[in-house]
Amino acid sequence: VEHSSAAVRTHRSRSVAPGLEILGLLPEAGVDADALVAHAEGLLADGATAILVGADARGDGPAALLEAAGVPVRRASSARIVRHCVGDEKALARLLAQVEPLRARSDLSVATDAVAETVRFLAVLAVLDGRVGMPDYDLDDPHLKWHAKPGVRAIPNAPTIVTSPAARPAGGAA
Amino acid sequence: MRPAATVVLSAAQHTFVLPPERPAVMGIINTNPGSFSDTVHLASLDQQLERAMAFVAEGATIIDVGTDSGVTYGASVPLDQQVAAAVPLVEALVAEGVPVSIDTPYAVVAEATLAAGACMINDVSGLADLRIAELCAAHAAALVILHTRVGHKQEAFLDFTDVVADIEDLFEERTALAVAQGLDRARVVLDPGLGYSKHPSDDVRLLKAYDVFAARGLAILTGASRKFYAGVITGAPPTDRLPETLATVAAVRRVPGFVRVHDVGAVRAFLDASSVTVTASA
Repeated sequence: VEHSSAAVRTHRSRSVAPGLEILGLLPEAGVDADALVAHAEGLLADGATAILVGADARGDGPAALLEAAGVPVRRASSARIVRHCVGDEKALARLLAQVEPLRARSDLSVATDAVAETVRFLAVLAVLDGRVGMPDYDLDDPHLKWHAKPGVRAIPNAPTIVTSPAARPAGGAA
Repeated sequence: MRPAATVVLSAAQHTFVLPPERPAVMGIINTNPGSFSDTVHLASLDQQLERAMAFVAEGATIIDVGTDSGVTYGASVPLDQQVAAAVPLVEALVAEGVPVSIDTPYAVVAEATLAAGACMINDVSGLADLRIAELCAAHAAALVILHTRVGHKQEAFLDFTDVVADIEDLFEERTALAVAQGLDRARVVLDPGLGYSKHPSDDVRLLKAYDVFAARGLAILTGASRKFYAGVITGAPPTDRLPETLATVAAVRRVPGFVRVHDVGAVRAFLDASSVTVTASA
């Protein structure tokens, strides 16, 4: 099972922002037993602390399978919000709108199949809230930047300051 | 600081009522192939119009037509080509009653598109050319003044002593210059310029200072889509930053104004659901 965040996970390690706990939610159908554990492990790698199982997720069969594989599980009653939304941007947006006011509540949990997206949303808000510092970054990281499209010749344009009493090029160059 | 009050913005034939917590959604349509943040290019007028009308159906209040991308690795599209591509789209949208903004630093493009019915010029140069303010005044159009300290299509990560103070200085100076060209101050929209000539850490600082900018009593426009600062935090590549876009929208929606985005439907769904959440918990 491929996750949308695979490239992100391999690009850099992230720590999950403190606050709301994220639980992984398995697909409602269509994933066989062999793939289930791999899928659950993917959700854990995305930032889920456990996999939600029970009435709104998968039955006891998957729970037993996951537990046997050493995957941490939780019962459905432990989550404040439970929503499938992978592949549906509007559903994801509605989930994140629900999550936003709860983001600092470390006593609450949200269960979703869009774990990576929820973690990323919360990570940005944690920095903007000041609950987490800005991570170190590389301004030239090619993974994070736009690149010339095929057929568009790349011509770096040197910066020219229009006017500012307070700004100067990084490093102090003229 | 007092909570921001509703801003009423008159822009040519349109009036935008912009309360706090309910920013208007500005959908992005680019008429040239170089735009870096488009995941698809809409080559024909019909495709561009179809996408724009889909944005309106999904909840966009205004369409921002880009004629020359801000990419820093290539030359500008010739001005006559920019005009030729933009004017028919503006005319078609205006005929449908859709408010249109033009993303341009070029007076010649502003002049042609205002004549075609655009109601706002989104000047991404920070009003480097005062003729744009003159043109907006002549057409009773709104003018977006964006904070940047480098020229169009130039990449720079400048070291600001105090980025918020610098943004305030530019807003003060350029608003006064626009008014001096005859533009009604109430038609000015301010854009703090997320990602323009700034380090990602400065973007975070400016996002925390939105109440300062909103205290001017003018509408605030935020280019919230797929921003580098947010990618730095999460590690997500530019083509996959919807959660990052929504977090940016969440951070700025308290001030009256516009959020300029590619993902109109998702942002509208987010704002609508947020509104329900706020109401439910009040």
